[in-house]
Amino acid sequence: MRELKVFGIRHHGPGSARSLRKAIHAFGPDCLLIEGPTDADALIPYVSDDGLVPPVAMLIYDPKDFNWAGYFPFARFSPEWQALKYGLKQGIETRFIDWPMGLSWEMELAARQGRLFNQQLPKRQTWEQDPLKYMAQIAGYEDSERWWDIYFERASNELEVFEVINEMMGALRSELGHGDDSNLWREAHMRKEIRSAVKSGKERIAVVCGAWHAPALEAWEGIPASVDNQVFKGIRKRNTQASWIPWTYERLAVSSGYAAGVESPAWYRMLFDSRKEVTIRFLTKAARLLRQEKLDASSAQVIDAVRLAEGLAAMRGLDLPGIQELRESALSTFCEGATARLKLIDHKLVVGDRVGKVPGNIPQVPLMRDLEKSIKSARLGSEYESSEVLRKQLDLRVPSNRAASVILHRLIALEIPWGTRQNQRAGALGSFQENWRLKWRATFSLKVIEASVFGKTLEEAASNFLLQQAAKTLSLAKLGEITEIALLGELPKILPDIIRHLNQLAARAEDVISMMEALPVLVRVFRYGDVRQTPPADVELLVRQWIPRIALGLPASCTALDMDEARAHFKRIREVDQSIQLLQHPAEEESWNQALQRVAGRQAISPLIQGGTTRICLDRGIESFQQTELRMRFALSVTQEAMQASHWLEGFLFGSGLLVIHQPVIWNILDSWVQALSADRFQEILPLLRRSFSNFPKSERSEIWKLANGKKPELTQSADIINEELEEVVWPMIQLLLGGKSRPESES
Amino acid sequence: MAKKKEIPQTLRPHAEVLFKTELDALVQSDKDPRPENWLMSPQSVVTYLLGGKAKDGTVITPKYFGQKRLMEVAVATLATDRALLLAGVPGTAKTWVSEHLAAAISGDSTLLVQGTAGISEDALRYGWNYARLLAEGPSEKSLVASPVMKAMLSGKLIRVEELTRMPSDVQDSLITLLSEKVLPVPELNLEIAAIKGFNLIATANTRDKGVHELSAALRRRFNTVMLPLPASLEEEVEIVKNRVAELGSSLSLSAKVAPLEEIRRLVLIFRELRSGETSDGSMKLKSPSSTLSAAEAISVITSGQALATYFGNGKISAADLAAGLTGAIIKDPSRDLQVWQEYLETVVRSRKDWKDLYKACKEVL
Repeated sequence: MRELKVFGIRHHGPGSARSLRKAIHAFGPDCLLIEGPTDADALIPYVSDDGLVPPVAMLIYDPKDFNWAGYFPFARFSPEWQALKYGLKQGIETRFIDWPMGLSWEMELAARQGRLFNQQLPKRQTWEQDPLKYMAQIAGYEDSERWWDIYFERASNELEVFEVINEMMGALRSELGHGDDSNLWREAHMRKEIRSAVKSGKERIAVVCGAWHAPALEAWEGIPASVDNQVFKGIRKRNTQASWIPWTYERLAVSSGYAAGVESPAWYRMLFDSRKEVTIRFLTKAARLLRQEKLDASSAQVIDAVRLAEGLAAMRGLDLPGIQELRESALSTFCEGATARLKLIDHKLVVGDRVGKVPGNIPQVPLMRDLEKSIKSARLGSEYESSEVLRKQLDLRVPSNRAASVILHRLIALEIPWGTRQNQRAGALGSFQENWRLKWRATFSLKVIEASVFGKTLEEAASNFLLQQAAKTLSLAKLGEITEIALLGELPKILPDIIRHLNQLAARAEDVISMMEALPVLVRVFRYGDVRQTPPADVELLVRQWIPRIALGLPASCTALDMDEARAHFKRIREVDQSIQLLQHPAEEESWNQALQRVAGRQAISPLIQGGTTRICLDRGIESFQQTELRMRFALSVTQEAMQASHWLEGFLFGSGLLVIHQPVIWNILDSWVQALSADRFQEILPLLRRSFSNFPKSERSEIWKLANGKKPELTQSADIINEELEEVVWPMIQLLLGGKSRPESES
Repeated sequence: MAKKKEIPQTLRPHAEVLFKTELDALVQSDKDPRPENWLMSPQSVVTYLLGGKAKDGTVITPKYFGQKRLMEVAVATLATDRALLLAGVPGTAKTWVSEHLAAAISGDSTLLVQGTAGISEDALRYGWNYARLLAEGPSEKSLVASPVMKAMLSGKLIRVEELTRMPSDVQDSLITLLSEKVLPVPELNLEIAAIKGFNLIATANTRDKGVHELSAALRRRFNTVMLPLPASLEEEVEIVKNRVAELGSSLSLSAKVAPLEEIRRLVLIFRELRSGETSDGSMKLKSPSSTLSAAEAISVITSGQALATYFGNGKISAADLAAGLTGAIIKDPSRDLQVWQEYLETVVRSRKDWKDLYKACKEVL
């Protein structure tokens, strides 16, 4: 006699998973039908592979258009996962019955365009999304798993549990309606599949589906097949591809935006694995996590916490403490009432940081395969498999290290930031050494799959992606960045195209600022391109055309700026200035110098920039000391607004006070200006002055102090001028020269 | 008869006296299991604190306005024989909660030790009646029990106020008491064992952090419940309104209830100064050094009420509030004065319908 059972489950519900495992076992089916898209059927056999470790997700995508893709995550405590495992172990027919994604997208499109039902798909209600949670909430439980535990877990007959659920859902549906139309279509599809299983002569059929659908599937015999078939008439299914991808608990959590997600994956896993002592285990884990954070949490406190949690549960009329009670008791005992402490561990404790694994023998998109191959040959394999944050130093003279750097940069080009460069200074192109911080996130696998539209290999995909970005952008600075990343990622083939874009965009650009932002990047490319054996192409020509244009536009760009803008712009001026020094083209330098002089002398310009450019002119020898003196007297004249004058000083004294110390004239002007200030004014501008002076090295400041006390300066090079940042750069070379001696402890 | 007359004359009756009817109703109708020597079940204690209805229909007024879960944790802590530490900034109803907990659980909120800098161990353990000691030698009769010892012997709750004001060595004498639940009396070679129902509620002020920090050993013996400042404007207005009405009746001030809009205005000022920004988030403000808790808002209103009753027309006005308000905000004249003046000029002055308050406050300054 044929028998068919429908098991209504709660997606990612550990209680549900546990009951289901027992119930199916008791039922002993010869065919297992599971709610899941039929176009993922090919993925099922891999579930028995021990290398496939949940959380993992089935990714179903349209290979022609990656905007159409769906993810179906599973955790160990997902009832569907347990059902799949069971089916494969028993060797019975196990397959999915929900509509294929290829069909659902077409239906959705049709519905959206009004071809089908002339209405948009409404947002799902919570009771539809997770009807069992809805029921639990009605029963007064915030933690629906606790509700499941109390009402269903102790039933002696596991099969009856599911009958009760089906009845409950039937009642719920007649009360609340069937939900949106897509639900009905999906149920029609599932019933179709059930009929075909029956037709193939299966005797004991188990159907596993979300509780909401259970009554509709149970009624399969009462609904004529033709009615269900009618639903899909005229809709053509798209071709899709499917693969397993690693998932994370983080993305399984509702807080990540996954609508069918759960609030507490780590807690659920614990519930699933060790239900009997879950209170003890949870609080012990909390204590251990706190100890990792160097906070006290003793075993005695765990005991107290367990007692409090149980007491709380009893007071609230619950049989067992739920996540609420556990959190509150942890807060009151370990955390001494301080929520900040609980927050420190809450995420790890409740959501968890578990990452799934997908073994290499499972089919993957070509780009992924290429990536993994190159990762192996660049010896980044262990970093790729680790879920920790790792640091890596690359020496570009070593071939495998250079390959690693190329991979990392190409991934950055694809907006997959596996690695981030540390201590990156401007001019990083000129260095042999790269410091990286690496963390492979599970989500990157998805991004790789998404990026595979751009090409089958990493080089191809990165090139095409960058070209597309270059064609789209209207920002010169962004194009500059693209140029740099193309160089670092060793994608020379696309450089001419990108340079062409740069040229075109620059020709139209009115905006001096974006040219100023892009120029330093280009100069670096030109100057250091050959470190990586990449031809600097036409970059030089471009740069030489740009400089005169920047020079012409500079004075106008320095007007009408507020203080923050002025500081930012002054930074740009300094960077352009340094770039031009690097370039060493006298003609271009000349036009830039003239521009600087104009800026320094013009009235309408922001005083900070005036002061700053005056200083640059002095340092570069563009203007004589007498001219500078004149400018300073002018800027600090008594009639000048004190605020303006102090801004001028901030620019003028930027970076170093040596000038003040060594040039008595400068000192005298400054001194008399300060002395002429009224007490109120002085107080007002004091913070600004402090800002200028506090950047000076300590020795310089003490010299200035001496000067202010009327003493003569006696500046010698003292030891505390050592700049730590510079030390970092210089030290490896010194070490090399000294033959690997360890670094001396810095003296106090 | 004589007793009945006494009650209204007490300046501040104990909670168990003031709310006797409610407590009786809860005790009588309580069907849930109660821990040994508790007056009522934990559930009823929570109802007593948060308000509601007893099973016989008696209305229970709320004593604590705030999250229910905090009170549940507090009661569950006491029910599982752990000592309870109520912590929070001044004026977050710590003492208030502890008094009501003691009243509801033991029917007696009078067993109290006030923590001070000059407290000695005797206050927590026992002292001697020296006349008797000299006359009769050491005996149990010459022993003077501390409130803690009384609580142990009667199975009641002992309250320790401002635990962190006590010197650490005195604090630490609580450790044995809390873990062993006995009080040794070496002079008489005996020990006092606590009977069931004994437990301890301590309050600690987080503003005093670092003065006499609890030792790790002692801290471990407490479950801590952090009482927060009221979460929303409405909640805080509600608290102030209720307490003012209660205080007004016990201080026999005129029956006129403080107008709600004055309370709201006051609470708004306090909240804004406390959080350092205006309620619409449009302006950054400096915060004064004072706590500006709900408790202080209450005292400003009651003092305003008193002013209005005795010197005014009985109706509370901006002028009645101004003095109290200024005093509550300016605790450290060198800093707070400027903060308050800035607030007056930038916020109070520009608010519609606040002209009266602005004028009144300027007059006081």
